[in-house]
Amino acid sequence: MVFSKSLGKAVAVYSGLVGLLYVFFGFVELLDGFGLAMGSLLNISEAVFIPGDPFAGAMLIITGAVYLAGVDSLSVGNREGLSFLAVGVLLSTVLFGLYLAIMGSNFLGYVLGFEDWVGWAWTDDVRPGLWLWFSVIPGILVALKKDWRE
Amino acid sequence: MSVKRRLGGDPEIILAERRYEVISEILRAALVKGAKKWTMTDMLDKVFLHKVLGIPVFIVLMWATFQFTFVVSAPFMSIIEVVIGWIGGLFEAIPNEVLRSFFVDGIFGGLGFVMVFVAPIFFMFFALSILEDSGYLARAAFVMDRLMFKLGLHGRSFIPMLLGFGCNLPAIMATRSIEGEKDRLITILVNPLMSCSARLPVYVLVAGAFWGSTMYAGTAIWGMYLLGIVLAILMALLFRRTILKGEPAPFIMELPLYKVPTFHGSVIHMWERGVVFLKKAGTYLLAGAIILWFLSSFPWGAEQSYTYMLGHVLEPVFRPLGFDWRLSASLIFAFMAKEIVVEALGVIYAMAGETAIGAALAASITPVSGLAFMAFVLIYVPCLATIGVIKQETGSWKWVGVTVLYELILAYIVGLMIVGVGSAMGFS
Repeated sequence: MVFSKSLGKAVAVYSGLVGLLYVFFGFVELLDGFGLAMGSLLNISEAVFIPGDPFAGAMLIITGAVYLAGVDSLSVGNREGLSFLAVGVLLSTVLFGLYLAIMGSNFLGYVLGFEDWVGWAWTDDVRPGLWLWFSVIPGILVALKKDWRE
Repeated sequence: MSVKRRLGGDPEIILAERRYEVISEILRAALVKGAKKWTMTDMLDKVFLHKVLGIPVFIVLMWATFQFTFVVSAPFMSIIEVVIGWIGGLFEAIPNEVLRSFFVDGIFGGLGFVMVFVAPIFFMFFALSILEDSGYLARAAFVMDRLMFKLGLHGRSFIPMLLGFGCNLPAIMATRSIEGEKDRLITILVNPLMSCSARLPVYVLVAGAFWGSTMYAGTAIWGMYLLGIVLAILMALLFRRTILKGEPAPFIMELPLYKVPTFHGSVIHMWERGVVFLKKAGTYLLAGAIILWFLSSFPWGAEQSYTYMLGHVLEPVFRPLGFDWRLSASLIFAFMAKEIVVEALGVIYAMAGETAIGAALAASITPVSGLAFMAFVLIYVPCLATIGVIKQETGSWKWVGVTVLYELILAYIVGLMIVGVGSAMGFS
């Protein structure tokens, strides 16, 4: 299967959307972390579990920027734009894995009854880097498809 | 006439170009070309080596590494703490007060306290092994080289600097691969600024004391590693422009193909590096714990001990940074090995009857001073073994003196800046 211009455009739209989502929620997390409470103003912070953390927010913005950087070349059917999608997917997965590992280790602390974990709830560890990853699943299938690299 | 002028360029670059020309000629003659395959390595390198995105991507991966190191290892630290506390409790029954104090406060309060940090050290080495085994760390060196070369520095320096994340000792020895004498000297001088694993227990203790098991603690640790890299680049630039003037030699490296790291392989690499800490614990750190216990218990008890006196003599020097006598004293002992800061705090606070060291630390200094303390431990004098290897590799005490002196001054300046900026921002 050839990486055609029309397919490139579809992947560009997808990549752009995912990139924008990461950048948007990254900014919300970053501004919340600086106490600017943008998330609260939009009434989304609590609804979608966005803790204020400027650094975690900055990491989401960088990840989003990687997706967005590939949109131009993807939209003209250039398969090299897939590089940005692939690395974006990789960064999203690293962040997802990290947050999952954090949730798992906190669960361990809670189960063992250590003082620092008394009152821990799984929702404490839900953050955009975790749930945004589900939007990346189609990207994994596209980026890893061997056909494009033949 | 120099070889460079006769050839009309750098011999190393010309040789590399010629080598690749020969390879191309052989391939042209021997290969029947089909359509060029676009490999996964080509695909990933387009972004990992990207002139704009390369460094931000590196920052994300390093941030994730240190979050993993600190936050994920936290319950494992608690498990080790409970086990050591239980064993230490068995010695509480010793009737002789001095002997009981030796075991409970000296061995278990000091050495035992450092052992808690085995967990983050192993976690960090595991994460770094994954990055290395995947082929990414070589790209990180390449990406940083571009930045460093622009600043007039030698790119090959970055590999010994990366090795410095593990231990400065082999990292300084690895500078032997750098041909230019000035390039090599600069790399040796700035290498102790790279955050070796011995500093990690200090970061984990201080960050944990102020930011608990939140994401900020991991970020503070990551910030220290980043600070080390930035300072190393700035100091190298300063040396290049002042005492070690000259042009950097070009940097040529072949990048390995990417591969999926195996769990087994990464665990082996983690063990090989982490076991060094365990060996240190059985030798240097055990000796340090005994000396510290002695100095903190004699001649007339904890409140009139040698450590107390030493700490109070030094306290005025460190007062502008917000360090109390305990922190000031701990910095002196860390000359043997950086982990001894933690051991010293363990013994000093235990002798003073404050068992929850993190909480006691948070009560005695401000978070800004805590951050300044982390930076101070990162920057000030290298450990004894590193000083020895600097002397061995430079063949001169002069460069040892330069390293110790500039690091002390830099540590103090950076500490003051952190306290100043933090206070101005209202964080004190």
